[in-house]
Amino acid sequence: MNLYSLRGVGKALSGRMVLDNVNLDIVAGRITSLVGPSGSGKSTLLRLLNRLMEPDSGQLTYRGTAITSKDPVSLRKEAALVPQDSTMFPGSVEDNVCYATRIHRITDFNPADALEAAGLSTGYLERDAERLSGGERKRVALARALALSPHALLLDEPTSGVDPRSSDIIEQSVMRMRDGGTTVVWVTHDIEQAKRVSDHIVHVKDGEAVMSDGRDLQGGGVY
Amino acid sequence: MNPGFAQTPLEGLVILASVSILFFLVVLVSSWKRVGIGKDMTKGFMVGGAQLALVSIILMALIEWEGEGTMWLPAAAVMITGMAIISAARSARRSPDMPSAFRTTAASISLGSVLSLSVLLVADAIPLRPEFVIPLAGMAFGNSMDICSLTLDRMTREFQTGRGMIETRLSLGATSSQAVEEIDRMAIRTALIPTIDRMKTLGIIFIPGAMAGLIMAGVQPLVAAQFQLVIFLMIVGGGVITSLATVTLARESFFNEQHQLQDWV
Repeated sequence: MNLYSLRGVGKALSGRMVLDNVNLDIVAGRITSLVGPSGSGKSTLLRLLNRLMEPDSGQLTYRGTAITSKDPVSLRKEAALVPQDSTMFPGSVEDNVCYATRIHRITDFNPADALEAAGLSTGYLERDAERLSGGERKRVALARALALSPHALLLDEPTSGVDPRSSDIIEQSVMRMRDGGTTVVWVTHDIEQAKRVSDHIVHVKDGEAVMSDGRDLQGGGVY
Repeated sequence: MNPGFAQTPLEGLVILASVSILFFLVVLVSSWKRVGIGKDMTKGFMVGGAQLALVSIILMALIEWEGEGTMWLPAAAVMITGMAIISAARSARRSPDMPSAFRTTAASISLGSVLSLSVLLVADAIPLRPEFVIPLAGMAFGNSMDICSLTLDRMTREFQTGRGMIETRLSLGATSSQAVEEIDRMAIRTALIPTIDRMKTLGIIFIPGAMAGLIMAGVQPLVAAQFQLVIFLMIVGGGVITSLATVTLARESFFNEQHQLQDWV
């Protein structure tokens, strides 16, 4: 079953066509990686799936119905996006992890669970979020999204600028999420990583998206 | 009661001309020292003086009409509408890229000023007379304009520098108002700090204009102080309403109905 379907989707930003006639299916309960060079439209595609922006043309469906018929706030609760820059909100790690549960008034939630699922110990809860390292921030950002127990995780370069150990922890955490039934869309420019973690790979280049088995991609390279 | 300044406008003009010597000396010194403000100071003095003269002439006419019933009211309404339009246009310049900025500033400034002024009238703190209504409307609109400008300025800057944080909140299912609640609070606080600071230093560092004017006109200082406090309550009340209205209305320009940031931000 497809969680998302895109048919002829196009999007222009500042007069430039970023996505052009994209046809793509995101299968539920699987990890789909979007790989491609910088500026190829991967992040824009992710933002369309979270409804931070709307396509200019084509059809985008979520669970078989037009995404525009779904309330954007409920959609974002179900399909949480982890942006590339991992901006921390002012306050402690706990404040950050509990942000979404606080605004959605979710009471049966333990921040330690989300933190551990993202590969961080509970000792981090009291730490000042803005003083964390890049790798720690990435994992707190992941935990912040996991707090919503989303149906889909939309990850924008979750391991960029992160040391190999942290990267490995994030990969393992996300794969566990997938095994638990979460659909994952993973934007990366690391082809080897895409091959390692994904069930499906989509090659995004010059605004077009093509399903790939990984063999057409430069062997083990990085865009 | 005569303030002892001048008996007639002509006498006042002579006094003003003699005191202006000080002003022109300052302009000369600033030109000599190449401070670069001489031209602006002269222009400001001329424009300000002309505006004050115009307002005084209108006020004199309104006070004349006061004896003939409510004839002065429509003219005062036109004058207050003018204050609203000019203050809103000036404040809207703080965010030139924002669509419908004028609509936001006009509604916020008018709401804060008219509401606070109405409270004074309903509470019988001031009589419904042009010599009270027009100057106090000027104070209310002027202060609300400053607060609206500061609020809008801070909001625009926070949106431009904090776009990443706002979108991160949105992407976790926050509504547009939840995503910017900290920015709203910060903008309101920043805009009101000068007013609150002025209130805290009332009488210590300076004696405000209305109180000073009343004392010079021979009113008992205690009564003048009470009246000044009434004015400050109007200014603070109107300012808070203006600032709250500005953040609420401006938010509609920063976001669309789908809780997405607008392209211009």
